[in-house]
Amino acid sequence: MNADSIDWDRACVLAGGSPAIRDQIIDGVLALFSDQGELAPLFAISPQPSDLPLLRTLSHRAVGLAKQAAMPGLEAVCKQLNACLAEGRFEDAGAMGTALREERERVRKTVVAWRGGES
Amino acid sequence: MAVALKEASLTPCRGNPRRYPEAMTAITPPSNRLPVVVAEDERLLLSVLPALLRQASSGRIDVIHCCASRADLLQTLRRSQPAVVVCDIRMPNRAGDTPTAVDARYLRTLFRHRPDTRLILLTGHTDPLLAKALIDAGAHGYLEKSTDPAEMCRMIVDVSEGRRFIAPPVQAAIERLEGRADRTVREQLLDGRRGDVLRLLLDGQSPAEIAASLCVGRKYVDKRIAEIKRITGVDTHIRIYRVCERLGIIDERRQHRLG
Repeated sequence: MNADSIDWDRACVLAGGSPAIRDQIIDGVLALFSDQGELAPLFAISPQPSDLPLLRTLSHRAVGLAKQAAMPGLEAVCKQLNACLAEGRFEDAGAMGTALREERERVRKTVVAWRGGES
Repeated sequence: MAVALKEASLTPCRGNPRRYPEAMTAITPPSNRLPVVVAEDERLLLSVLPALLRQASSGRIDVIHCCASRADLLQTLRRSQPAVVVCDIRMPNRAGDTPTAVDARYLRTLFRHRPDTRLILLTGHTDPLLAKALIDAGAHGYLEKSTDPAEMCRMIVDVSEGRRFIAPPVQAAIERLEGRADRTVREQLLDGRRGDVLRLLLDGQSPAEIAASLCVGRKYVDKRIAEIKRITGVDTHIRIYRVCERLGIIDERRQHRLG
């Protein structure tokens, strides 16, 4: 389990101490970051993106969501991606898509392992 | 990856999609409940915030409506009277629009609808310029989205009781910005001949006396004084004095004379 994938204590605090709300937030964030989710366009940014305003909005959302779900690794990658888009470094942003997907997978595995350990 | 968003604990009441079940607010007597409207365009957060605030406040905070756009919030304020509105700083005008930061004009419109309602803004990324503009426009609270819910509930109650609360990192960012702005104004004021005119003006000399002291024409002095007024944003000599006092220029001048 990657310790940096989810800060479980922080996640619980941010959920007002409720494990049910914490799980709702974590599952909701993972759904948004899934390959079919609303944030999926961030995984495949072309060197000359035609939908830059949308990508900027999505990367901004992604940072906030990762922060709210206490996923520091994902938050860090999203912040880098957000900076790349803001500074017009689209090739770097494209490369960050892979890192973003990898980090999401790390989070997902952490969640699965955590829940496996709970049962 | 199949992750479903659970909403079982937040089933809205039948007939009013934004009203949440009465049973969930049963801990605090109805008379003590604080009616709050939440405006947040992130559906996931909007789906958990009512329960989160209710739970963290032991039922004191009663989220009476949730809004996902600015238009929605204005419409809600026409028909309900919350004690506090908790509003994300970035919201779309209407559902489906790109979210943008709210501005002072929007805040004034909100207060025109509900002058007694207190407003707390939630931000994910601190922009001190925007924060300052919105606080100046009348926002009563400015919180970071990552604030612990229990802390957020305390702030909501505090703000409803007439206090103001600005998150310390936001306050610090504003102070840094003001410090930078002050330094810039100071440097501009004391630059070159303009600085000489200002120093003599602060010593109490009239424009004619300054012109004589510096061996320049009266028009030249008037022009420099006009520049000083533009930089300080004031229009009288006494106000220039007050601005310079705040910037530390008066103290410096006094020490210079004593030394």
